[in-house]
Amino acid sequence: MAEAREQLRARATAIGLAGLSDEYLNDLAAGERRLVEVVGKLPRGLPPALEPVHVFRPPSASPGRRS
Amino acid sequence: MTELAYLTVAQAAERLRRRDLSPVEYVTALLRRVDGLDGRLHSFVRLLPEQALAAARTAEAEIAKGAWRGPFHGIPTGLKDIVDLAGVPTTAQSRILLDNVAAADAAVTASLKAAGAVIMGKMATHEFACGGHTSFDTPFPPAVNPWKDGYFPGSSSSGPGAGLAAGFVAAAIGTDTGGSIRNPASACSLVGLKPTYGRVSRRGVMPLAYSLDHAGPMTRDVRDNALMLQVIAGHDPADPGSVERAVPDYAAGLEAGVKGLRIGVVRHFYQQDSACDPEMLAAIEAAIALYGKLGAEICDVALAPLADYGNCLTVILAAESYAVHEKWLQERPQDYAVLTRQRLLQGAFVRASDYVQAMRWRGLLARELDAKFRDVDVLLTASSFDPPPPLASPEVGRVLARQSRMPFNISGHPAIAVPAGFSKAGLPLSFQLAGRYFDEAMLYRVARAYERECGWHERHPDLTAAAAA
Repeated sequence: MAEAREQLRARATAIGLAGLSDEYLNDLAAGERRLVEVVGKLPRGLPPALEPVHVFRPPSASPGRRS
Repeated sequence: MTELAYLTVAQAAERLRRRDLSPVEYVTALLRRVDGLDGRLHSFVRLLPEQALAAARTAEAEIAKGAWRGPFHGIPTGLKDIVDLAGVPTTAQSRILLDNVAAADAAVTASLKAAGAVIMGKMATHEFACGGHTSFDTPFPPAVNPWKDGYFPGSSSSGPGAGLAAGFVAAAIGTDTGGSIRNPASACSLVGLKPTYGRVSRRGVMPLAYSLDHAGPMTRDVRDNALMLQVIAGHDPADPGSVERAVPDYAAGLEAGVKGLRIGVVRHFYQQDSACDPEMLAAIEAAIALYGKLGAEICDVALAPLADYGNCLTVILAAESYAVHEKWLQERPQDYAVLTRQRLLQGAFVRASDYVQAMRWRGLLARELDAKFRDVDVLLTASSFDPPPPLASPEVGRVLARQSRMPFNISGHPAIAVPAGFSKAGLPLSFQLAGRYFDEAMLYRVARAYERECGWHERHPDLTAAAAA
């Protein structure tokens, strides 16, 4: 438990979130758990040629590349 | 005073143009109303009486000289407090921006001023427009629903929602990243439009998530919404998402009716993907039946499950909003409200590849949705699945999760929340229409056909009763 917390603190520090209180670390851990759960629901195996929308524009407003 | 408070923009404009009503008299009446009633509604975070009266005097002088600028000349208008007004702080309801005086007007503010609108002040929002559950630890108290004391007014354009329903302003600018115009519109019995992505400039609007953010009009009826969009729509090279495209006359086809139009109903959003509140369901089904009676052709349309849009949006929103707030989260995490900080920290460890995957998926979801408009003129579905809950209730979180607004933030299609009556408890009900890219005029036409038959827009909250309840 303590080790996991220190690992989280180190990861937070590495992205500039240094010196977070225990409360904020708890928030960070909860937020990460929630996002991991949601990310797990993203579809995998989308075709490589499928590009992301960049600065999002409605398709009819942008010629865009279509695969 | 109530008579002036609930004038529509169109009604007020006609009286102002004819000089049957003085802008100064109109603005003074509404300022007095705010003074008397906003102490418990908290719709304004900063009222600007001197500026408003000065603008009203200017409007009066111009109209007297015959220089009427159009339907917004002399109209009391509000701005959600993430929209810049030069010389006035844009606080985003946050301690972090308490002293953030705007150097220039936002594009929408400038357009409204050029049209002669009187800016009444800055209106409440959830901190940084984050939406979600109500925060009580921001520098300004949360807005309250005028339809029932102590009830949630929707988020995050909560101040514009409460202030419009209370008759403090005739129109207001809201913003919508995952539904934040349409949610308060639904909760406060208003018309709220999220325009097509790129239709209205976001320059000078505090971002929440760049690729999901929209600014748009909130009003008490459909015509006013069309009139307001007419003022704020248009290309702005300073907004990277803005699209160069002609702006049509949004009010021209308002009364054309729905005979012969095809309306696709996305029932699975509110019946299978999540079960709508029975009273909300009845209101939506009654609207569908009415459209059929008015000559529209009704068909069912199936889209991806609602949860797909929600999951896609959650990843994009988390990543983009963390990018917006990264520096402040590093340096001033204690200055956020607890709930805002918790929401923003969700994005700290989103991997770049997950964000890209979400954006790839988004393209598919948007194209699938867009393809449906080959067969229908508009889509009809729920906006909120429930009437608004009590402000401080844990129900707020549950209710906010039950909605079908975010598919159209993912896709960028225009979508409008339309008042659809009231629950037995007197709380607003609504439905939502979505249209083809840049076809806001069709949404107005279809929304107006329902409004004309039902007249819900003519009901206003009894603020004395709301206080006593």
